[in-house]
Amino acid sequence: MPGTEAWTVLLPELVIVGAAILLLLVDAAVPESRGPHLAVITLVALVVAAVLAFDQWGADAQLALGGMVVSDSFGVFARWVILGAGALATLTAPGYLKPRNLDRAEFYALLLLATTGMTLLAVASDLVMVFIAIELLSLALYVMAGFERGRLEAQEASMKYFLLGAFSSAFLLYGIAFVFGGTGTTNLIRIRAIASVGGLDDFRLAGVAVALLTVGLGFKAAMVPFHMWTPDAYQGAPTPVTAFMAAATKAAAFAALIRVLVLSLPALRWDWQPVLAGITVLTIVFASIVAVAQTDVKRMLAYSSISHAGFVGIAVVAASRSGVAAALMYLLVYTAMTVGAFGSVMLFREGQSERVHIAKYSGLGIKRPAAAALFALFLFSMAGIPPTGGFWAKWYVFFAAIRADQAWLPIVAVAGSVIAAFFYIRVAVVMFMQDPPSDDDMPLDPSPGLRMAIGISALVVVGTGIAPGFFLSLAEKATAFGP
Amino acid sequence: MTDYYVSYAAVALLAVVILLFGVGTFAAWRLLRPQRPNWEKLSIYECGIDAVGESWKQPNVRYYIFAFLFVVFDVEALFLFPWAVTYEQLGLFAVVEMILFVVILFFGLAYAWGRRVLEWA
Repeated sequence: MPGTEAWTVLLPELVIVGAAILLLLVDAAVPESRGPHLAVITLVALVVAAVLAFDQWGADAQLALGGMVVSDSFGVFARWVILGAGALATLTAPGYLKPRNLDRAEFYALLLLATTGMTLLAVASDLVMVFIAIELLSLALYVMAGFERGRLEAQEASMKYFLLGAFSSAFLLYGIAFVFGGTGTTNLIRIRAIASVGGLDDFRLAGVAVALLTVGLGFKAAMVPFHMWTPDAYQGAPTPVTAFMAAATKAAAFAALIRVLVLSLPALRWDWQPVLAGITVLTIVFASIVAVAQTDVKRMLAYSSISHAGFVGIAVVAASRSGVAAALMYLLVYTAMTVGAFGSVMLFREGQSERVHIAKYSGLGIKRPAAAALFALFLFSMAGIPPTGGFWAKWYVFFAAIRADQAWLPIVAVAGSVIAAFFYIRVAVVMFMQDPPSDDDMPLDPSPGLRMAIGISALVVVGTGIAPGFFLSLAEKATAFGP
Repeated sequence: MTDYYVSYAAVALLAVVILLFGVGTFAAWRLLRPQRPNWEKLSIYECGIDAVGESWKQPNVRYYIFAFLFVVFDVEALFLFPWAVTYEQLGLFAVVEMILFVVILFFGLAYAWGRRVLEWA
């Protein structure tokens, strides 16, 4: 195998793991060492990793470490989205953790380890690597979801995510075993080579294999009907973790889904395309309808994140270069608006806790116009209203689906987003068109990191809205993936 | 292609044999043995010593640390043995890799130590 010694492909991951170990050692050597330096170390590691990953941008794709990982532009783009989500979540974390006495080094170490799992998933070119990466990110996230362990909801979030996550890992592993049974290899590039010459034509369990893989990865991407854990986990987890889980995990899961289905199993597209199309339609329609009934803003955003998984799924169903580019573009915009929206929930305080009930948002736009306007910007972007990045992200996804002769998908998706627009805009209506209660002065969280994260997210949402061509051309450069 | 599935028939056959063996053995015991129960016979067998308390007892939560550390060092040994057999062929790269691996595990131990996990208090 060429490039076996090229371990430098994983330099970004090594930096992040190194920083995680450093954080744990600092914590062990200086007990009770708390403060902003933990977040600073985390941020520096994530930024350094992003810069190191840039080295692989535009270069020829090559396999490394015995074919376990691949360095290509697709991996770099997906890593940037994941690292960006990690960095934004890190910015929001200190302001949330400190008042709750949770700002321990373990939190940042776990965040870095979860990020490592996700970026490894983005560059994995072997099903074994896919599995290890998913386990790494999951184990870290299970703990992070229950980090506020005094709270009952946090325990519920962690427990549910853990039990269902372990279950879905078994599905994924079973699928990997079937693929191995049919092809005799777990390497994605070799699987493609074998499948493209009809090597799987006689393998009657190929459909089962693809179904099991789709279940395993669909769980991590939180697509209906594998979404059951999502609302409870997102609601119970500390909000910075929720933002991180929602944004980064989805990007990583879809990167893996694209690599496994579009890159290595195009020969079986008649097996997986209709199934995935059904899942995406179910995801968009179901999540949009259920979200309407939510009164808890965090839960509403959880269902909204589920429905976004459906939109990215449409781009995967298209199974073309423009589909992959649209998926990457969508994930980029989605990351910014998700972190922005959850960040806004953290920003609006109610006493010492967050403002989660939608009725408590009435008049927020009158008392805190700037913050409420930013929250409305993220909501409008999620709804896909034109001057924002969310509109273009959906546009490119629909365009890719139509070009792939799947025009019925955008039709259903548009119907779904009309339903979804209702609950996004309802929050804006409550904020700006209802009178504020006189006994509530609606304080904002003073944390500077949180404001910075919301500001950066808003810039990305507006930037992708004004210059979508620039970001799309980056995403298109990242579609030549796999050697 | 049917050969492929036939080759798995042995697995199914084995499962049936195992099931029959288990059920059959217990059934044969029941038919053949004399039944004269007394208190001694009905008590729980635990290495010949009288069992203390009920089996539904909550173990001390601190044991999970030992379970963790055990797994860590067990896995280390798992990797060290095959490495020790072949490292001469693999050369310097393998030595450096293994040193890194052990050092990272050592960091884990140092972290556990620093968090006073190793003290029973």
